[in-house]
Amino acid sequence: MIKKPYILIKFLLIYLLSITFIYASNIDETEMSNEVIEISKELKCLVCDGQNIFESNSNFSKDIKLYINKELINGKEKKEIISDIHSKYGDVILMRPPIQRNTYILWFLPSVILFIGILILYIKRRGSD
Amino acid sequence: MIGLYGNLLLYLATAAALAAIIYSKVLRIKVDRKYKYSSFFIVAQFLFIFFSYLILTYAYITSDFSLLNVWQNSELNKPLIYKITGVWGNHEGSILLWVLILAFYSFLVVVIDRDVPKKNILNVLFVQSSITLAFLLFIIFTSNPFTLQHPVPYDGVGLNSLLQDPGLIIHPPLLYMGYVGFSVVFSYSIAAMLDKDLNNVWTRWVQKWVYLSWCTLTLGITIGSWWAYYELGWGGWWFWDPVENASLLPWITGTALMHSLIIYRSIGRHKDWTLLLAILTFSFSLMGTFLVRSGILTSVHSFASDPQRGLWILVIMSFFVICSLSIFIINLSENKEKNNFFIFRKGTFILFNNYLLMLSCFVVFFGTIYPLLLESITNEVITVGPQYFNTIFIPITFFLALLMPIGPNLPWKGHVNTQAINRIYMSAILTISLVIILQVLIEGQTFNLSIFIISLGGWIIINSLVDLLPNNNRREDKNIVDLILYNIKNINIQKIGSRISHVGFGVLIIGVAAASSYSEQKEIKISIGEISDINRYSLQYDGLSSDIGDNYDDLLLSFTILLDNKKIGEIIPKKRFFRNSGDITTEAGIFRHNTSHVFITVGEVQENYIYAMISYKPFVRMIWLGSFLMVIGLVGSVLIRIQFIRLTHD
Repeated sequence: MIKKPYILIKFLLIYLLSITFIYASNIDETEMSNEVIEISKELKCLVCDGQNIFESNSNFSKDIKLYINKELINGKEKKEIISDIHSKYGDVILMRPPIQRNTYILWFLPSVILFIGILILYIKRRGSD
Repeated sequence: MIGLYGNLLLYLATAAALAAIIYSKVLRIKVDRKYKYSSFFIVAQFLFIFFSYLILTYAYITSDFSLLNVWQNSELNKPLIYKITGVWGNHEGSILLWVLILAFYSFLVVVIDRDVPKKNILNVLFVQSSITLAFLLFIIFTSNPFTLQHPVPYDGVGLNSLLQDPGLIIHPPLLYMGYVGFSVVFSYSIAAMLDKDLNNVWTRWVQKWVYLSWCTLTLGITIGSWWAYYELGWGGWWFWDPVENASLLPWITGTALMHSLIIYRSIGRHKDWTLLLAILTFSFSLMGTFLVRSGILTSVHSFASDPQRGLWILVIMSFFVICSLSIFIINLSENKEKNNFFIFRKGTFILFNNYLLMLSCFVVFFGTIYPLLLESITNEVITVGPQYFNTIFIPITFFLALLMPIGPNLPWKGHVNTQAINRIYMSAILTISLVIILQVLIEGQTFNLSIFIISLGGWIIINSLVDLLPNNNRREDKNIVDLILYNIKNINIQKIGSRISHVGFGVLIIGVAAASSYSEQKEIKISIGEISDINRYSLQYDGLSSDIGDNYDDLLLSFTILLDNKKIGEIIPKKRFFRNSGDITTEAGIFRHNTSHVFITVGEVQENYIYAMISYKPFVRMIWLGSFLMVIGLVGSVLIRIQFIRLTHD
């Protein structure tokens, strides 16, 4: 595959330079465990456009991933870690909106509509008999 | 110079659109003359826009940086194909493509729909030209791709690196064909309401447009999902991203429309509802355009947005939606339809389908705008992520999938015949045994919701296939081979198309459920020569090499994939380094094995080791296969019907 070795070397150099620049803050030396992946998918990257922490490569996400990893090693549970992060950054970081005063409508309106539909069906059925 | 010609053509097109509006509706002359002139201006308008589009493409190909738009979105050493398709990789160009397709559809209406009475077609052309005019003015005033600049720079800024991909070639045009195609359906609906003497013949006129738009929209969405899957780098196929949701809305209402048209065509009922769906579908198309272009919602598509333009599109959208809904309300049919309600009728089940689809449409819409609403009212910010949509969609899909295969077997009126009931029982028994087998084989003791959903997919597929058996299946033949041959020979051809589409939906459900719950993924650090296992596969990292493209360099990372210690293939994920912009994109390496994918994306690269995410995605290919089957089924059913009409005419 190598056509011109010097270009490869030049390219690698540029590449390595650029990533050392981009990942300067990255000190991650361990493999990400399944649990880190699982937790980081529940959280939103606050500096990106609609990505979760797992998908994103931003410094913010890297830090959160490192933090999750650390807390897991300290023996914390998934729920605890998420609620810690939640209390620090607020509702906006949770991909799954919490069920609370300002999301009751969001969560329950669809079921209410479904229920009304079934009710109408029931009434119509009785009416036509 | 070139900008001048482009501008001139745009102005001419605007004039032609205006003339078409005047001749089709305003002037009081004979219908024949009205039609003659307005169709002439429709053709002219299409040609003007077409040539202005060609000029823009020419400017891209020749890298004419005197045009601001070309300079901002192109560069000298970009591959030719991305110079041509890069035209729609930015706001101005993609809106021009939008209008081009719109004008093309108007042109098609003039060419194809010659059997529609002139009086009706004039109204259609009137609405079409109004939409075209609105968007042409939008282009001229806010998004003119022919804006000049001076002095002329030597090289351009370049196309967004993520967009330099084969996906760009087909995804936007198909999506727009779908979005804009529903404008014809919309125009026909408005025309029908203006004429007031609507009857079933109207369904014959619009049906082909609904089918065409639905097929292209489905393909567009499917290809977009596939593109995101390998390009964005983390192996998701649907993100519930606002822009994806915006394309899903017209798809859902379009699907509902397609089904409610069947009722209206067959028994002439639910006319108002069908018209409303037609209006809604195009309104959602406009809203999709608004959401993408305005940038009020953040998304991975936000490469081309501008709030100022969003406002314009909002005005255009509101105008058409409010006008059409007012016409709809004024023309609501006064005679109430007879209120005999029976559950086990085909019509009732199609209404169930419509109801559930509208519910899911509402969920997508509501979930997408809820954070905006909440923030504007209370200043509280929340995120509505995929988890929300997935949770709500499971029960809706459950009902939809449960009822879906029953409906087509039911009669329009009268009693359900015993054969249909028997077949449903038979499929039910088969499905329940499938659940049990899957539960025992895969899950053992634990209960997993996905088994349930997979079986629902199975329920649709089994039912649809059983449905294809010939109607009188009572054969004395003892020989099983003969019996099977008899059944295949006498398969119910007229039903094949719609059943393939339904099977496609079943396949899609299975793919989604299985891929989401049985995927495995992990992030690894791997050195040259090392092996990492995922599921039954072993991946060995062989090292890196490089390759040179037109305007980028590739870093290729070779992996050997082993199954039971035997080499079954190679996976080569890439890091693509764009020289001009300095962007780095990841190109996933994908190995296809049966219905599964083994998927590698590379993170950080060092000389001796790399970080990579490897994943095993079983059944994931069924997602796209299912979507294609839905389209194939629809195309098939149309072809078969045409064949049948020919046969009966002979």
